[in-house]
Amino acid sequence: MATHSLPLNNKTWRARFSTTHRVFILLSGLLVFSFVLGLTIGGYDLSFLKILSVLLLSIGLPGFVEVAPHEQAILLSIRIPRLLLAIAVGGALGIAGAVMQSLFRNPLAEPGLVGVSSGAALAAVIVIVGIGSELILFGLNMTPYALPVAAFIGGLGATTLLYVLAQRVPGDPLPSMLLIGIAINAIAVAGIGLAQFVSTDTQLRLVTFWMLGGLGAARWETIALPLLLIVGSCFYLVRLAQPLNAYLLGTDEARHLGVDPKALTRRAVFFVALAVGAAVAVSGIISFVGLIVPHLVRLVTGPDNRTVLAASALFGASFLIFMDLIARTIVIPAEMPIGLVCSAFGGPFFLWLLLYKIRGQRA
Amino acid sequence: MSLCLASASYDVSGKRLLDRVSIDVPPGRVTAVVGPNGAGKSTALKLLSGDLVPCEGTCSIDGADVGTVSPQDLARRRAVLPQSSHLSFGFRVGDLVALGRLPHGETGATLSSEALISEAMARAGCFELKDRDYLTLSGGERQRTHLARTLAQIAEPVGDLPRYFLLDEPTNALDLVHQISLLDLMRQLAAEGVGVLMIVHDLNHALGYADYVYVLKDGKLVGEGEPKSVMTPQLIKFAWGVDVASIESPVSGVSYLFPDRAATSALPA
Repeated sequence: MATHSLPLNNKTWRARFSTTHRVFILLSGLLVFSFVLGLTIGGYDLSFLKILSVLLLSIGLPGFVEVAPHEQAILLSIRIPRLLLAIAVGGALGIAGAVMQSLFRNPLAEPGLVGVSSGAALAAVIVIVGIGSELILFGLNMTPYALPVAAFIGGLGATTLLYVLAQRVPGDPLPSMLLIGIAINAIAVAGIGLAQFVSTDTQLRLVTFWMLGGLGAARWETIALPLLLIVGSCFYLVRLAQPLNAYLLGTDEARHLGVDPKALTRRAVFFVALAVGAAVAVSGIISFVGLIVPHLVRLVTGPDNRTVLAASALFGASFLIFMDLIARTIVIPAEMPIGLVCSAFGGPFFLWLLLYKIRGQRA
Repeated sequence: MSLCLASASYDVSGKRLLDRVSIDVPPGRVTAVVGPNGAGKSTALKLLSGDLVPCEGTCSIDGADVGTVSPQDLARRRAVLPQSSHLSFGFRVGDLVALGRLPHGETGATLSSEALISEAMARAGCFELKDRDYLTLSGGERQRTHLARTLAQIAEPVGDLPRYFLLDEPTNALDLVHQISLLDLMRQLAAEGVGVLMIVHDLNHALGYADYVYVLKDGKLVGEGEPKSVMTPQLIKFAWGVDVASIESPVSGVSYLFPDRAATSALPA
């Protein structure tokens, strides 16, 4: 059969096929492993058999072992939504970091560069300090939604402002975006500081925790919409892989290859802001993931975005599950802010990897 | 059917970089642009490639204004080899060359595109580099990689439309052997119907390989035509202010130019 002899003759094609696929199989395995680990470990340990039984019971089949109602509730209403949120947020930060690093042609770029995190933070702090403990609109208690909605709008608003301002500068908008982003971040930080200055001790504590991030607020009703936004954005961003590769060559070179630099920038920035804005809205600011994850991926796969983007999303998801696992078990019954864990564990790990990698190359 | 500038001018902050210049790049011909530094050669190429829009005059491809053609449509029929690229990410050479197929919607590894990519690498003399990391290559090897990428881009005609290849000082980083094979390749491409335009600094490259030459000085066209009738020692003296002597190759009969300290006296006043 002709279909058999065709692809397998080409050695290069086959070699690349298997390398890329090996990476994806490995990362998918890691994600499944971390997911199962996240289901079993916690303040209340659940055995693997109990988890299987709960899942079987929930689709109307008999389980293997007896499961108490509170165990079922822990799994279905707390752990699974929290893990799904970790996957979404980690994936969003991972892919967003990879996209920003390509767009700015700078391995130090991260999703916060487009102002989405600081804009979200400013809005969140204003809500915490300004509105106080309860928000009643039209007779409904909107308190749990006010913070994420405000953060989401604040994040997207800051990015839109940055993008519009950058368009007013003639020529390539990206260098000016970088500078305008720094200015907007500075203004937002000043606003946050001002709000903190006038806040009460309770509010200050809330602000601090929000700024260090956490997945503790994950409930089905709060994660549904962010999940949808993040998954949609990720699928769109993955399709920008090859145009972003062309963009790494330079703005003119990308245009010569048929990529419209302005359209690419607009699309990439918008969907990064959408994904990161949704992530920040429900989980606060989780720094470092967007920077470190694409780096680690690139060390293994090389810079080709056809692999890097999807692999960063997959690895970001597993990475955040592990970090959250540490965050919620290390100081039981309390919880460590996840942003703190990411920096505390991710930083030294990253450092070790860089040094090891450099030594490996020299040898 | 051609890629052409029609009395195009380009100003930047009050300075006229290009002044009513007309350049025609017909399919099947190697066209060279020569001129001293700052003559406007690269500006002319940027107008032809659509990077810049002329302030006056027009730039058109096969009858349509270049500004009205979408970047992707343009990329399917004209490739541009820049003087140098600043890529700081370590792509595999093969993947970099594969980027040339992007305007044709071939973003993954399909068999037909693999064949075109391999052929482009072979023609550019970089097939043996295909698994190397771009950042470990020498300047000349990098230039050959980008040559392969741009060759892959216009490897096949799309529909009935002609293809164009614009090169900015393509021989710069190359050694003698690769200079010659690049110039031979340009002749082959022209024979295959591609319209080639190259900016060259070595006047003998224009004499030996171009069908038609444009000479620019201070943003103005000071000569055009068949290289051997246009590029006389008098014109070179006028455009560059350098005295050159002409010597005929005993093998090919082509006249070559070389700077000669004693040439001043040989020139008719």
